[in-house]
Amino acid sequence: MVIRYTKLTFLSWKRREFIRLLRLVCVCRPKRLFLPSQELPSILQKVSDKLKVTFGPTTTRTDIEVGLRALELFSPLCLHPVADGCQALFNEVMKSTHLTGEIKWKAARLALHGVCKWDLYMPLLSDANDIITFFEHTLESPYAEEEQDMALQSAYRALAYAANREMLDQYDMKKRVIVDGTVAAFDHQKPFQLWKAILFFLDVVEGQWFNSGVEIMDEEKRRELIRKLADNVERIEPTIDVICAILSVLFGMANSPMWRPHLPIKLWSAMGGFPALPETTPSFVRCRNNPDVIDGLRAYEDKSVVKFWMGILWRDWVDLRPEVQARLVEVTREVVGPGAEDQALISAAIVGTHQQLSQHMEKFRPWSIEEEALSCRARLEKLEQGRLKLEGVLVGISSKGLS
Amino acid sequence: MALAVLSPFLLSQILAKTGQSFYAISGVVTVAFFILGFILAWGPALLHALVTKVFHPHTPPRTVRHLPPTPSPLPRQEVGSFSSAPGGGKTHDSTASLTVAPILNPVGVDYQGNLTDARRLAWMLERSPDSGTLSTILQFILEVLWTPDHLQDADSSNATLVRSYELLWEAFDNDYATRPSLLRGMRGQAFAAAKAFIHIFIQGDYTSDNSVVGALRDRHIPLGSSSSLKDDADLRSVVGIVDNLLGIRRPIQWAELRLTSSHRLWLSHILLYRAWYATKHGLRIPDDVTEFVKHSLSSDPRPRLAVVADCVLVVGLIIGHPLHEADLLVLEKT
Repeated sequence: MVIRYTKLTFLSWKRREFIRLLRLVCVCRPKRLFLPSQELPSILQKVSDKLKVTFGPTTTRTDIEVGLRALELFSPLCLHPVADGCQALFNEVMKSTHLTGEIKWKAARLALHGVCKWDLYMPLLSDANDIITFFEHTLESPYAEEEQDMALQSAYRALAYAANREMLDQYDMKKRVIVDGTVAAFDHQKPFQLWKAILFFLDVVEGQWFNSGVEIMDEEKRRELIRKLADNVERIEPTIDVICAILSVLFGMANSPMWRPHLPIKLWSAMGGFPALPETTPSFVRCRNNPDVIDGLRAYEDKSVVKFWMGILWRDWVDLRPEVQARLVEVTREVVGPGAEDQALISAAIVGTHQQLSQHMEKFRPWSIEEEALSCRARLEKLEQGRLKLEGVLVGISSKGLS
Repeated sequence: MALAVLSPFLLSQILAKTGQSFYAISGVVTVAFFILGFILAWGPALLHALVTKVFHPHTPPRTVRHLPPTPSPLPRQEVGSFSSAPGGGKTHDSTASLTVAPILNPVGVDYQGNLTDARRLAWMLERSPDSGTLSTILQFILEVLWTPDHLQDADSSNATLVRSYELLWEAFDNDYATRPSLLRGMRGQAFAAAKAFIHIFIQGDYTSDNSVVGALRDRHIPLGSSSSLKDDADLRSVVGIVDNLLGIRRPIQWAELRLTSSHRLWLSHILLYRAWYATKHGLRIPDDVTEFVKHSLSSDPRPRLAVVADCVLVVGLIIGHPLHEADLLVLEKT
């Protein structure tokens, strides 16, 4: 007893050794090592297949309820097979005729959440029809707030990230239910991922919303949407993709005479991220070719925005339509003063782009005929033409100032 | 001990510098310090054992200090088939009725597939003198399979279950006026005992019909609401499960608990057993399991793949996908 007691006391100081000793004492003979029956991807696949069967045509109501319970647990998992499995399930549920009413929409909501919840992987849509049906139903039907937000978030994410502009152009996104529902949901008090998805959705549908010439909402609603956009711009972290989406929407609105007068100057602070915006962005191209935008920006008391915008136009001088070129020269003479500050501001876009292109050209040999090098050279040439034209205008302004 | 080894060398250096005979003196000093080291290392334990033997020869084994009042004592006689002394004769000491004879009898299987002696384990748990040793034994319990298929000796299982419960309560103070609070320095024992209890309860397929469980339920006071656990998510989770197993229907707020990765792994594995037994008996999988799965699968960052595998297997069980026995035995699934 004494020996055992002292032994145990001593060994308690060294637990690992004690465990080893316990094994020596207790273990009689080795049996075998266990291995899992299968690896995780295989288990995931089997569960996905089983879920599909559960919502299939031969199922009972009890099975469906069990399936919904399982899907609720399964769909939040961020793994590729889960997203793919849920997409197949969503298509199955939307096409099914035996699933009806609330059960069908709940299954669709959970499955779509499984498809769209993960930022790192989202299967692309081959067809937006089912998503838009689900989207319209969700906007029309009153659910509990949390469920509604989750369903809307999934639908907006699917339309904004997994679909593309060309695909959505085939559908009418100006329907009253979509417009009103989107304005209502675009609130900073909603979950971050929801209004971020709406921002990207607006980017995808801006052509239909702001460029159709149709009044999709009254002035009050337009003001509300712009106010919400400005509020959210202040709160969101300005990553490159977010800045690009904001600018795309902003240019879409600025191009429209219905929307332009309501744009607050603080929304133009997003122009700081302009260099990240692809030059082929449709709303930007439209804005660039619209001489009214210059006048719209000129109406602000703070002239720095219009000067910055004119700098961008001078950069793209060669690509501008003649009437825009004429208006640009005219307004430049009126707005830009003879001081160095104004001239530096209006030249900033040309100088910045020139530096960027020159750095890029360093990757190529001077006589390279690679496609990228050729296009870079052509772009530099266009810049040079714009710079020479601007220089001529600025010299005129300076001499006028001196006289 | 390190002092005993190093000191002669240091002393001999000093003595050599002062002109004394180096070898003779350093030899004597070395022996002296080895004896001193032995006394320091083993002395307290020997003294304590001596005092126990000489002055308190009839001191019963450690009993539960802070257990709530028990209207009826545990059904010790029901687990009494192994309540005999090593010689096999009945004991006269009622408090020792849960002791188990130290007979080498392989009846359990550990996760490496080794047969283990669960009865010996139960006996050691009963006789272990200090909380450090107890925690070590309790941790070892988790390495043994306590499923009825692997463990034919229900008595060892019952005794270990009850002892684990008692050890859990030993770590708490209950003054009847306030909620139970964790005693200082007893966190390790409480955690290990709660895990051991859950492990045996779930793997052993205990239900509320079992008389041992019934007795524990009658005297159980909820521990999960103890304010002393609010900063310890791992301990709160296991104590909450103990409450649930013993009939306290209070949902565990998994979203509020920031569990450690290793603990989540352990939980996912043992809860898979719980789900498996529920489906085996044709019952609905308990909500605490499904809530754990829901929280684990939706948590960001995603938990370890082994946890994901266990949770997906629970989802599979819900929709009637059969579970391979090997998946119950393997902890680190990928």
